[in-house]
Amino acid sequence: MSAGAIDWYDESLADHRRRLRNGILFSLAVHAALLATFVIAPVRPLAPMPEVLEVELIAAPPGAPAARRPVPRPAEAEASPPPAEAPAPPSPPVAKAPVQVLPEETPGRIRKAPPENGKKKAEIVAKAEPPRPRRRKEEKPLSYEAAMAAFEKELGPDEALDLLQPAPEAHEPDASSGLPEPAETNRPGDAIPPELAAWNRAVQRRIRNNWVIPAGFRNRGLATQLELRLAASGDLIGEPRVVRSSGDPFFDDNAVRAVMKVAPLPAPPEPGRQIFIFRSEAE
Amino acid sequence: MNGQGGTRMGWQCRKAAGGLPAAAILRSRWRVLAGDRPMRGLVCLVAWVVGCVGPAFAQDPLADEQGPVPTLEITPGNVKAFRTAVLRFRGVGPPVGEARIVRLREEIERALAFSSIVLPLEREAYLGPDDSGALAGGGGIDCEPWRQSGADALLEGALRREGDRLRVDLRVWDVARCKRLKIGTLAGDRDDLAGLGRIVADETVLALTGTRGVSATEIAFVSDRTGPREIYVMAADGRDQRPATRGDRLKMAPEWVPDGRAILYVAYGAGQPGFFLTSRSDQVRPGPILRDLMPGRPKYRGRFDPTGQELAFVSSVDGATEIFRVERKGRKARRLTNHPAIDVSPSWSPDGRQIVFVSDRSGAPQLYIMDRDGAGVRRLTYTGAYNSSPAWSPDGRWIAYETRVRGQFDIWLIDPTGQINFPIVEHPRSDEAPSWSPDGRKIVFSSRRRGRYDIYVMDWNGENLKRLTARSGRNIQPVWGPQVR
Repeated sequence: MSAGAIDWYDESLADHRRRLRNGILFSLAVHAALLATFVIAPVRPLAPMPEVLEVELIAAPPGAPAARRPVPRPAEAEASPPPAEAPAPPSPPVAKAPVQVLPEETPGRIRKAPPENGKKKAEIVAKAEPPRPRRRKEEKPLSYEAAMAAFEKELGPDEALDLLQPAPEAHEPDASSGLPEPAETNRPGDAIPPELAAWNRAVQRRIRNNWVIPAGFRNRGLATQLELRLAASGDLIGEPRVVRSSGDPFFDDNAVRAVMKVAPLPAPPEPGRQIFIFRSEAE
Repeated sequence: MNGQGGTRMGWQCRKAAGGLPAAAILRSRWRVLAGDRPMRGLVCLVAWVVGCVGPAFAQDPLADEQGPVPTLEITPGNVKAFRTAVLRFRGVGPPVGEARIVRLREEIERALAFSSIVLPLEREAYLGPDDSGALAGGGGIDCEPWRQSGADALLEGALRREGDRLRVDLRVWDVARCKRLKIGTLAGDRDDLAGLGRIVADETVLALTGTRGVSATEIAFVSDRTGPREIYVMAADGRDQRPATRGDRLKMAPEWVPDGRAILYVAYGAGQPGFFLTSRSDQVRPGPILRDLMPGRPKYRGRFDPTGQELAFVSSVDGATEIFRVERKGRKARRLTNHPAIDVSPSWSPDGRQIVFVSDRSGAPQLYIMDRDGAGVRRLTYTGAYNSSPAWSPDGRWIAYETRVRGQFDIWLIDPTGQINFPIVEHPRSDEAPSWSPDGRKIVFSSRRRGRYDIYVMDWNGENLKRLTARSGRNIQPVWGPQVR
């Protein structure tokens, strides 16, 4: 009787074997194809350098505030917000994760100080980010969003947002637009033109408020680069194009969706091509 | 030049590669092999590599002739759920009945609300026509009013009666891009509108996030609401609670067979506790199993490996409580732990290569991880004086467990390297026995916060807490069942 009761396992075993066999066949085919490729076509390097250069521009505008440096890294990002524990699953630093992250800030920062528990970790994190003195340490971190809400309440949403904003790229100042003076022109050493800074902030804010990103996509070291074209009015010309995929088509789609959802954007100081980098790390 | 040139070339390459005989063969072969999307993506990748590596790709896709392109970084805000308008489905063919159409929409919206990722848009916000018009006409939709409504997605459908079944032709629209995300046909029992609504909702979640929702799954648990402890089953949202076992034996430790066709449990009868199956399908006979396995010894807390081929369980030898592993046919059990201390509560990693378990070899119960053959034991938890009930998440990134704080339990997560560790449920009263939903988005657990043990569900980050049981009795040991389609 006991044997009879578990007979039904057999078919799944057969199925398993079939799948295993198919998998092996497929794997062989793929290997053969790859081998053929490398034999037939001599591979030239894909010239990765320019990408790195571009990244540096993001990271180090002349005199950008130090607080801006820590662009999210896959490992540390979940630790960035003071109470980030809960919704901040650090993905194991996947190869694709640090796509255009600053070279000097690649994963590993958090690893060197394994937190014993949530509270301790929060402290460590807070220490790791001295350039953000205005951040408040939360005692009992449960959810990043809850903390953000509190944070914004304390500072006012705009200010909170300013603090969170990553450094905009250095840019030649030729824009003319009727945008209001940015609130933080007096930021020490800020070199980007005020109109552009204001526009950047407005756009970031608008997209952040509309970009649907479920908990499962957050803090996974994903980054998608979109290229879009903006008319002088702020209207999108065509659909944003994914120029560098995060590796997760749904994350990519979500980014495109977010831009289209908020279009038209505020009139840009400089119409034309624009790159938006969507990151899964909450700052 | 070339930023764009390079990328465009990439696309062309991809197309061209699609035309290569090798790629075509691979692709067709693969459809035979598996036919599912991620795999086809892999084939495309291979085709792409075959076609493109080489001369065409000497340029960087982002370089630009007129200097750097302005770049802006965007990080996540607080929006976590897609708003979806569930339009009134259209009846097609033989009359379906107005009541059914209305009710199905309610069920879909209810199941979406449970997902906490794709929430139904409030009907009052609708600015577009509340009618699955495009589906009937076969055309497009006017997205602008829905954009104004704040809808991210639109769900429309046609409902057709086929004997005792209802068939739904479904379309999910991406409103921002005004693009169809998914077309599908689903069917369900004519009288099980709740079931059909859940399937529709889960498909919608899949269309928007790439991972199917779990509203159509079930949760098994133990309850003594009618006297003896029995195994119960309920829908993931807590509805349809019903006993899966009857009798006077004391039952505990339910565990789903990975294909969902049976639930394994431990029952105490005459003699030692052993394993039984309760059937969820005609193909499985309920009753005792593995009776010849280690006769005369107690067997507790079986946990299937992800393939369902092997069972890890707890028994005792020479006065020591140890963890064993046995193949499905139950011929040979293999001892995995060998320590005079108590080793219990095995839980498999999703790749089946490791087992996390509880041992008091350090003097107090702590979590340990070992390989599937019992080698490589390492201690995982160092905080807390009493850690137990580990459950490995379906994506492998976390282990949920209970830890004792001031005489009661909280639920914490730890990553398998032991470096990241934090609470997700903290309450002055006990929260115990976490179990993950198969999509890894939710955790079910039992809690005594209302005085008596009840089953609760929440998102894995601790949000959207919901109580599922509300009757009398102690409701404990919840275990989330698999996604079966």
